[in-house]
Amino acid sequence: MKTTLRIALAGNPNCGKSTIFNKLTGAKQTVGNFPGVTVERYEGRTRFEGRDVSVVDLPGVYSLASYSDEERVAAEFLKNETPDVVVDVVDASNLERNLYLTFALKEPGRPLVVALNMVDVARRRGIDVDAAALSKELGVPVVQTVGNRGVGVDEILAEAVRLAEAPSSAFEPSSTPACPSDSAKSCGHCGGECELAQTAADVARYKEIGRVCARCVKTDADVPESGSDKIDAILTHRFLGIPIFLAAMYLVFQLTFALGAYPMNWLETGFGALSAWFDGAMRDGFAKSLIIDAIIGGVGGVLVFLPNILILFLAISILEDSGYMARAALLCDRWMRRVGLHGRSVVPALVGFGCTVPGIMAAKMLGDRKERLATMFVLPLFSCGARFPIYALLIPAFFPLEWRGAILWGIYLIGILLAGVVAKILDVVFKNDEPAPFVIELPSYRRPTLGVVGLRALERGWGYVKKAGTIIFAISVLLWALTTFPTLDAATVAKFDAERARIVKKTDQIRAEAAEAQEIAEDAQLAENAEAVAEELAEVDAAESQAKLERSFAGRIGRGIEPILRPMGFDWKIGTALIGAIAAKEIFVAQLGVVYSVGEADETSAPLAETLRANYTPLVGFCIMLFCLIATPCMATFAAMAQESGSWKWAVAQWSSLTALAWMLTTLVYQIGSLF
Amino acid sequence: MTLADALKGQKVTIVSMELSELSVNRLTALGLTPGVRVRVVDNSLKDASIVECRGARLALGRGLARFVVVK
Repeated sequence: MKTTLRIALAGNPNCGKSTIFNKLTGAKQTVGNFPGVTVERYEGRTRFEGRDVSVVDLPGVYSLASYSDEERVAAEFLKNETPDVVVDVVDASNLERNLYLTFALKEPGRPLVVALNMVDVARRRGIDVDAAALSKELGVPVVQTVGNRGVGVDEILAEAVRLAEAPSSAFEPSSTPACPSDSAKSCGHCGGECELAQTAADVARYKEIGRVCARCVKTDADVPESGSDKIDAILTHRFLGIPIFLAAMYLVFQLTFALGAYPMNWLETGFGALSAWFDGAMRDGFAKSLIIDAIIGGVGGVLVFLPNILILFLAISILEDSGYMARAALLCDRWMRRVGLHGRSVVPALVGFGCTVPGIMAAKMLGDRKERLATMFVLPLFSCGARFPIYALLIPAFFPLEWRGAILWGIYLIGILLAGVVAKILDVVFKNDEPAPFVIELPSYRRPTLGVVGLRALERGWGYVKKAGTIIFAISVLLWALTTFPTLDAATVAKFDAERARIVKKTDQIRAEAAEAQEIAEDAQLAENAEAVAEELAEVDAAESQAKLERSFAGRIGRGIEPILRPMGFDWKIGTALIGAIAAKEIFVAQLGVVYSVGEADETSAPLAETLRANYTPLVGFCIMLFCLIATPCMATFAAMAQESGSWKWAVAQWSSLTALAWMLTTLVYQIGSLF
Repeated sequence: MTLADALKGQKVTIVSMELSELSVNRLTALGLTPGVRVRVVDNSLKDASIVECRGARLALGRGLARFVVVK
């Protein structure tokens, strides 16, 4: 007897499988990806009658025919990892359709337990399923369950243990004719014969299912139309549907950013305090700079978005679990289809306006791999919140008041249009000869189970934290090193120190003279002096920062790439700032501040705006924004893309092709613009 | 008549599906097969038909519904 019993949970989407999984394993679960695909793999453990039980939650599928990643994953898992027992969760209110998968799962030598779920919902709809009769018809144990109340969960385990311990006696060969194995279906290469055989087999299978249902299901025909009908009449209304969807998404974003602002603030304060503590506790030097600028600044800067991500995923999980997401996909399909995307791509796209990273993670819910990749690929073109500071700095710096709103709107619009164009190109590249047919199940509306949505949001959030601790940490340190080394030589540092000493000495002298002269100390004048001194000192600091940056690798790279940047109208200073933007877009503003030695800069920085106006034309200003919109998805996006697509190649392809596109477009705009 | 022409509330029977193997298999897994009774829930959306079949509610793109022959 094996010590650990391995159970695989299979079932249709929306059959309540996740709820059963949660009730089976509690919070003891891990989430990962199935190898090579972005399908999430949930695994949990529990103990039952002294045995360790591990449960794998397979993705929700309608068949095992390998038409989607989910189906392939489920079929391969069952074939290669041969779990001890398969538990098939079926929705009692939708038995006929659910049994199609059950028949596909039924295979000699594979212990199978059917969990007849949501029997309460079914009864309310006037559907009564005779579990004993069903068990007899199918030749497998059938357990009645109500997932959200945990009814029948222990019985599932009991049956599973019983089957695993005495598989040969418990699993009687089915009394029904051998149903076609789904593996035959996936041999799509053998052409016409197979297809014909398959269609006939499917019809036969449904005929058999119909026979089983006729014996086991009693339907009360007089039950009034379901509430879903009435809700759908409004939510999928041909005119009202879209506005309602937009309002719902607006609410989600508001919640994400408004509600998330508080914990984000606490985190920022916390990281600030941490920085201050290290600042006080450590001596100036590389170690201190590494901790404060690279580790706290880089990793902390990404971790502060955790609350937003948690709230966003919670909201999306609720929308998904309630059944609304399928309706939203239906409504948007018409627009998305034109560029080869799926209706469901609209949600990641909208999320992307807030932040690209959760957008890419939200693309998980797309079923088709090509559509998922295409969606993730174009997501950085939906201008995220981190790019806003760049626009907020540059637009007022270069454009008159009456133009500002239109230009900002234009930038966002260019991003959306480009996303459409790129998606269309990918559509051609992927050779989607036939777009995945649009057919989607609209599950009955139901109240989301808090346990399910909460746990999923937490798990995804934890994945984000792990990423911040690894990949983002490494890139932060690298960028820090690029802007820090090589350091100024001793002579230059001494020169700046001497300059500072001179200013301080001069001030002391003035003070001493004033005291000597016994003049009536005029406070105002003293204060003015102090201010002037502080300003002078800041100027020296800024000059030192500039000298440091110019000497650093980042500065040298900036100079090195200047020939490439020239056609777009950029000089090495912009180039150096752009290198900072590789890490995170908002760093561009801070970095530009350093290059122009105006000290600490943010987007409201008036001196920086003035400096920019003095040095560049509005055309260059616009080109910077255009370039930042399209080029170099930030490092967090890069990491998310690599993780979610299952391959670094996709992340590299996205990064380099978007950057190349940005270069071409910006060059085009600059060169044409320069003619006038 | 095709599924795309059916009226709201009408109950029809699928005769055949003039679609590619891929699409037919997809629809089959979702419960749509020749001979099955389908209730049209809504057909007013520009690009999709909403139907109920074997207890499940499905939305089919026009591109599919136009090739599902019903009576």
